[in-house]
Formats: sequence, structure tokens, C-alpha cells
Amino acid sequence: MKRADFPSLGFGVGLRQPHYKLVVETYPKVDWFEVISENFMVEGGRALEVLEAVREHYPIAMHGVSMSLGSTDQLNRNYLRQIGDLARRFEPAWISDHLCWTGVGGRNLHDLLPLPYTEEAICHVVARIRQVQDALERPILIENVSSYMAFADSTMTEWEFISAIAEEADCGILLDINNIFVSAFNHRFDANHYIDAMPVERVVQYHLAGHSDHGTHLLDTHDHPIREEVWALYERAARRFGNVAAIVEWDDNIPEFAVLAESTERARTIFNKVKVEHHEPPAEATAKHPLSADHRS
Amino acid sequence: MSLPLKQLQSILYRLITAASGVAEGLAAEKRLVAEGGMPAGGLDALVLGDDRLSAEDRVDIYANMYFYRLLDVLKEDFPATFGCSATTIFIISRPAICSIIHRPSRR
Repeated sequence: MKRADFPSLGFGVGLRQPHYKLVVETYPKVDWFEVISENFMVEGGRALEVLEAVREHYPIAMHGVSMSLGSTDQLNRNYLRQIGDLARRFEPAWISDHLCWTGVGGRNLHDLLPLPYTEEAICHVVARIRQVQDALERPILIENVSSYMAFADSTMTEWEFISAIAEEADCGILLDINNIFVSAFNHRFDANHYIDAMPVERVVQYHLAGHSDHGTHLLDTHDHPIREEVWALYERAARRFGNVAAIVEWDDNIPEFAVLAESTERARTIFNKVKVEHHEPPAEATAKHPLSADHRS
Repeated sequence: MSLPLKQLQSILYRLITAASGVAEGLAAEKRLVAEGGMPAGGLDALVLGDDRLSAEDRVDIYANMYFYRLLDVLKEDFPATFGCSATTIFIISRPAICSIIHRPSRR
């Protein structure tokens, strides 16, 4: 799996319910939308109507929060079947979920909990990603999570852990730039080292978001504007990884869509500045993307 | 010797969902040491603490987020009952809320 195996989507927004009406009535100028898979795993209703309308005009990617790739419970085959059904219907550019566990013993914590960075955990997660990829008949992307605890048993860094898993499972990486910043503060590592250590060809997408500062720790709340330090980290990533799709996500205290759209344009501007330094043509905002419905065969 | 992943996840689940918080959960875990629950070194043998946050503080962050997620869901479904100040509910009713979630009425 290489990044070139995936389409280049550009700069988008995480689709959230408060913006449904505006998006389907005005089709704002963003390149693509990332949708939360679980919000559309329903039989019918408004959400699916919205997704149909969005998909007619934009490429999408499906992003899940319930795959629980790190859990020691059995993979939820019913969940995978529903993800597969949704993917066949809406043809996302890719499917992603988090490198974490969300529950154990059949009970769900509804949170993205970190794993110990051990060989045991690598073997466990790699086997499960392979099962998921076989079931979905496509490579998936795994996202680094924000974390507030680290384990005494860990024998490697987080960036070594995620890189090893991506290589062995042959999957892509969704690099959440804000999560790197949050975890770097919480665990006192250098966020730049993380960016510099990621395997370039496996990074397919970025998340950009805000967080809240609690003094002793940062929380990944997605309820604030993106901090300048996170933008600086994004610029470092743009220099290293080149043309990688990005979205801006906001999940609480959600502002007007224009605020998110403005952030996507800032991400594009930063990327174009980096490209110019490398003498490459800039990325334009795309009205019709090769993966939008109008271009599908 | 490292703790098997399944055991680690089971311990963290119990601590995060303990009705009165992580401290209460840790007290219960001490009684499980002989049964192969929490290792003899306690939580500090599993989770790293530092000068900013102890191991217990760090698990408490997850426990508090768990509680507030439950509260958000209950507020949405039962706004009249759970719509009061989050702080008040946290002090008075955290065990009650956890009980509603983990042991719902069958009647």
C-alpha cells in the first residue's frame, strides 16, 4: 500500500449535523467531506438523505470510532458488515478508524484508549487490521489518538509503534496533527520527532483540530480553533509528506461552516507555500473532483 | 514481566467505570491482587505518573470523560431530570448515574 494508491482529495471538512442544511442547500466550496461512519449506519432517514446529496457533489471518506482495533474482544463482524454495506453504497475514497481500544468484555467505554507500545500489542493489532482489510476488501487508514496515560510496559515510542503496525499490516496512516501535539505535551515528547519518523508513503490523510488546555494536560476536545503551534506542526508535515489530503474537524461548540472553510483554506495556503518552495504547481480548490459522483462510471 | 493486554484492558475498564471514581476502583482492585487482577505493584506498575499527574490522576481523566459522556446522553434523553448543573450531579449522583447505566431497571 502506498499513498499513490489513494486519490488526492485536497482540503475538506468533517461533516457534522449542524452544517447539514447549509451544505446540501449551498454546496460550499471545499474539496471533500469526511463523514463519521456510525452516524450513517441507519436504515433510512434524514442523515442518509444528506449523505446521498453530499456524495453527489463531493468525494467523501468514511471515518469510524467503533472498530476497536486494539481491543482483546473479538472483532465485531456485524459492525464490519455495516461498514462494508455503507462503503459499497457511498464509494468513499477510503475508510479509517483509530489505533486504540474502545471497550473490553463486551462493554463499551465510548472513548479512544491508548495501547501499551509492545510487541504483543503490535502482533495483536496487525492481525486484526488484516482481518478488517480482508473483510472490507481494501486497505484502511489508522489514526493516532490523543492520550492522557502511558504504560510502564511500553518498550518503544508511539511513532515507532504506529509505523511498525502500518508496515506489518500494510495499511495507511491518518495523521492527526492535533493529537500529536496534545500527546507530546501530555507525555513530554518532541512532536517534531513524531512527524520526522512517520513513513512518508503511508501517510494518506491529516486531521486538523483544536483542543483545550487544562494546565496539567491538554484535552482533545475539538471545541476550539486550531492552535498556532498545531499549524506550525502541520507545515512541518506538509514539507515532509507532500500532497496529503486534510480535513478540519470540530465536534463541540461548532461554529459557522465558514469558520471551518476558512481553516481548510489556511491549510491549502500553507501547503501551496511549501509546494512553491519545491517549485511545484499549487493546489487549486476543486469544484469537480474525479471522485465526485459526476465523474463516477 | 509485562501484563497481558487483556488483563490490562480489563483492569482499566473496571477503574474507569468504578461508580465513585478511580480511587474507589483501586481499593476494589487491591482485593483482587490474589486473584490475578491488579499486579502487586499497583497502578504505578501499569501507568506512568509524573510531577504533573500521578498514574491515578491520568486514569481519572478517562473516568471523568466517561462520566460526562453518560451525563450528556442522559441529559439528552431526560432533560428535566438531568438538566441541572453538571457539578452538582457530579458530586451527588455519580454512583447513581453509573448504576443506571450498568444496572438499568428491568421493569
